[in-house]
Amino acid sequence: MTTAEPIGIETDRLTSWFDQHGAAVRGYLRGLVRRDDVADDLTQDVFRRAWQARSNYEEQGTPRAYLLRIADRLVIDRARKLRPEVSLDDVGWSAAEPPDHAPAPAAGLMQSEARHQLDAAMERLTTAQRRVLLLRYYSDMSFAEIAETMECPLSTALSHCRRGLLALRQIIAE
Amino acid sequence: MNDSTRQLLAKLEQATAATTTEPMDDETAMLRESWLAFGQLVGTADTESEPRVKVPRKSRSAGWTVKFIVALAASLLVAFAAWTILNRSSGYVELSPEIAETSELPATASITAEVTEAPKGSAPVDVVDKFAWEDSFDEQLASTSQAIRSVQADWSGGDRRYSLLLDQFEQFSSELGEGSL
Repeated sequence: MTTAEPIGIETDRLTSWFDQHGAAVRGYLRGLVRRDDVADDLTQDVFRRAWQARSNYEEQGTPRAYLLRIADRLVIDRARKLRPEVSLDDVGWSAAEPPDHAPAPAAGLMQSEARHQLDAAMERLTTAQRRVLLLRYYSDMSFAEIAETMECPLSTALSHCRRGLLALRQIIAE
Repeated sequence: MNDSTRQLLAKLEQATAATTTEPMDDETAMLRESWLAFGQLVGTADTESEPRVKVPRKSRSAGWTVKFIVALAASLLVAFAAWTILNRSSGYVELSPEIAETSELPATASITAEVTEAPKGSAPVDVVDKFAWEDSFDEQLASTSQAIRSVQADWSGGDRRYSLLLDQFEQFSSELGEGSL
């Protein structure tokens, strides 16, 4: 437990977490929700939650896994809340989403194309497949830890991963 | 964990490993290929995808600034207290007419008197307090007040002379009016 730690140490720890794992958390969230603005908001929520729960943090596993578990929980909670609205507003939101980041035209084109491909691929995967693949990619969690995060048996997590990879192979080949 | 789960776990761990050099069967190789393509896609899409959230960073200089201000205030307070005490002590000396009597300093001389003592081995210095009471001031005050009184008397006399002159003017004016001149 870190209840006795001074607030400066906790601030330093969270700042270093953000520097080291902020991009991974954001990428994980972006892969799941496929919207930059929502990913940014959720990333901020992840670190806010981590800050609020700093007194309960225990040095178990890696900080990235800890942050990605918070991120995963936030996405699941959000999906539960927005489930009736997602199918209705998703297209509209995507159309109304303002362009952001504005990279160089060539790089931006390539990045945009990759994003579209990734979004299209993610769209065709189930939520469980997306979660297990993205958790495996962004975190250094073992499959047992991923299964624990997803609150499912190990065999189920493995099955989601295998099916997701097979589906990806088919999607990329098309 | 049964055998099929164990085998699948081994396959997927090998397929999704960061680097692997071990030989793999066809299915694992296929899964590995999909995983690498997925990683390349995510990596490309993630370019320039740094989080745009702001995490409050601790100002490292704030603590030192506060400590410096507190130390400065404390030292100023101590200096002011010391100055007040010393000034009060020297105030007694200033008001004491005995200080001006350099020949007979009492044994319980004040701090200022001790401070103004000449150091041993050096030439003797006259202990003269410029703020000490002097009897000559009385004389000067008396003479000044006398001078003021005489000036006032002269002014009063001048006033009378001025009145007399006015009377003469009035008389001259009336005579001029009557045509007696």
